[in-house]
Amino acid sequence: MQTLSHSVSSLFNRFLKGKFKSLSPKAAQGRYSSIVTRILSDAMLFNEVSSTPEAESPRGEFILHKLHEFGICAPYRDERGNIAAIFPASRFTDKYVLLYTDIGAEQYSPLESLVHLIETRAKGMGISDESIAVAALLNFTEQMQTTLYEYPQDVVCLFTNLSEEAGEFKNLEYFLNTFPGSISFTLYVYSIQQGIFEPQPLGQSKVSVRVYTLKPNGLNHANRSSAVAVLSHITFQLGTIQWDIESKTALNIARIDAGVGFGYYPTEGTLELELFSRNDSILEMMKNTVIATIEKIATEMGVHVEIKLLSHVPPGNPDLNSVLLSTLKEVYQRLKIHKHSISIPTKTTFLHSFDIPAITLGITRGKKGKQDEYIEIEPIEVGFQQLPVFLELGIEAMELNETE
Amino acid sequence: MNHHALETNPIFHQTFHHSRYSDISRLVELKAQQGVRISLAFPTLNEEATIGKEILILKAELMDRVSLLDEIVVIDSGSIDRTRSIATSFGAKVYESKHILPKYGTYKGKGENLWKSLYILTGDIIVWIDADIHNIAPKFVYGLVGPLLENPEIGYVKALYERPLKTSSGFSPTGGGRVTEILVRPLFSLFYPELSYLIQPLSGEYAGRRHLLEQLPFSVGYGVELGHLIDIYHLFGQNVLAQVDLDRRVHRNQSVEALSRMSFGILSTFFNRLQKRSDCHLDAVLHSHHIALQAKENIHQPVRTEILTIERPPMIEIEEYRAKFYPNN
Repeated sequence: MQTLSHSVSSLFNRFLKGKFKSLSPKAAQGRYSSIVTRILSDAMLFNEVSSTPEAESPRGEFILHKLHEFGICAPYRDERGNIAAIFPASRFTDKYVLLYTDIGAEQYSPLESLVHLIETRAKGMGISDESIAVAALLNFTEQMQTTLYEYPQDVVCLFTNLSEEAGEFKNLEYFLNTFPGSISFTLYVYSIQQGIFEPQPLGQSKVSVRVYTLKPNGLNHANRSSAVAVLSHITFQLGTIQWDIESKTALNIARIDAGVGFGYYPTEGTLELELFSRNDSILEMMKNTVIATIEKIATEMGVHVEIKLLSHVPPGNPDLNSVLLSTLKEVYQRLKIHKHSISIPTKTTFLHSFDIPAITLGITRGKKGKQDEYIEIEPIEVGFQQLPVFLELGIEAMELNETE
Repeated sequence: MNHHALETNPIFHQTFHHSRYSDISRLVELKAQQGVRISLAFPTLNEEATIGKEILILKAELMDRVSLLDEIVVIDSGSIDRTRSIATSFGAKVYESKHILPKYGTYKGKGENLWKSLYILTGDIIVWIDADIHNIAPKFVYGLVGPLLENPEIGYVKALYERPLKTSSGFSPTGGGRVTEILVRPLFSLFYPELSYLIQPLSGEYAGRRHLLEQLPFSVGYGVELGHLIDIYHLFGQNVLAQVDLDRRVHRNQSVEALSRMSFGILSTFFNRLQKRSDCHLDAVLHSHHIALQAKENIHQPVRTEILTIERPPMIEIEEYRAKFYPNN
């Protein structure tokens, strides 16, 4: 540990003395530094680019254009639309660290995705999902390219579409399976949740429920339950079940959607559920309990339900991340980032299924709401600094751990 | 002009797409070779919703990452919202119009801000961009300066684009540019058919060379763009005009009542130019008030609004300007 502390001091001394000159933020006229304004600029422009699932997407074109502007004219590309900038290590090695982020948009609207900027925040649909993260990783590649800085292992910055298919991220998986070299660890660059700390990667099951009810006879509603009533009853009943606290087992009712408003009788509805646990057998039991409860309610209320298990990802391996978690604590402490545990799993568990140590870093703070979505500008500065600092410390710590 | 002449109209041949200039490093090289400075100014009045984003993106992409722009300035007409503080936060130099050349008084209007910006800005090429654009991108600037850097014969470049209407229920893909199609295009067709080749003659984004701009009078209000085009046509000829397709511009759309007042200002400028350039003789005295009818409880009542039709002289005629930019003459 002494060695790690020593290397942290050494890194920070270099950082502060300006040997990382180009990686450190340059003062810009105005309230924010040059690096913050560049990240914001890229994020806003990226956010307004439409998203399509095809490999040749406009968002992919945006990334390629930017990399070209930075002087990275022939980045790695594959048939799944993955784009990566590769920075060789300072020595001969087949090991690489993967920094990756999501370029796909779950929601895009030509109107709502236009970003509105005030002194302290940027608002707009999608800005908290992936745009700030993509911009931060783009700027990291720009800095790596302009400073020619070399880490002891290769650094790969991957822009991929993380659309989920049955709990799997096919594009990322394709990259992991085809990219040459031995992966050391991964950093998922995420837009919000700065200070995220995930000591026990939770397993997760996603379940969707569709409800179909009959229309009432005339004005007699007494013997009929609407889709809204059925879904409300299901969620109420699921809410009364006590789950195992020890294994961090929990149920998240992610979405209820039924009814079109006044004047219409709701006969269809959808419910989306997420089940979490750090114990896979408890997660399995929980899933069975939830499905049985819903089926019982449907029978009692005389309605038709369709239940689908959308995905199942087993819990991650806490031991696999122990070195990275120590490093992360150190980074947060040094950069004075407030550490907070999260209740929703990240991509970590998916990578653990490949035995790859994995960490998520949030670039800033913000909110994703149905009506209000924004990111805060001020934390971007320190959020960006996490990337070089974590890389330096993480590589050193992982190598030290291997030799012990 | 006969039909054949229209087909050979130089504006038609000097119509470009912004992608032609997307290699910004090439433009920066051209700029360095020519030893010119490029300035960007935003005329503002209560534009807090969009000004921050416009400044941040254009500064980050065209001043910090590359040195295509040398300065970004906001000339404000006395906003009562946070326009000036937001603009300062994101790194623009902000001036209140009334404090520039105070000896000459001040008027509220876009044209007034543009005219005064000529005194403040230091560039040889001036770019003016409206401050109400929601989908700002670097192409708005590099698209406009590209033809000027590429071709020394070109002196003034107008933007053109699709103008979708942004309404409470979403986008209508077309419908913007109503004053152009209903008022300006018919007028141009009647009096200056050569200028009909300009697709968006009233677009608020344009760039020009200082030596050309300083010789133009400026309408302080709505007619500034139209006045420029007619004056440039007379003073320099249509060969100096070019236009660039910027694809799409999303902005706040105005009510029909507001467009009616705008049309009044434009017509006023147009008649003024016709007489001044001896293209038409008008005996009537033009009135200065726009009259709208507003229905209240089934009775229409007139609403009179004074529309400023004041013209600022060419900046080159201003003593302080000559002292600043031509101290040896």
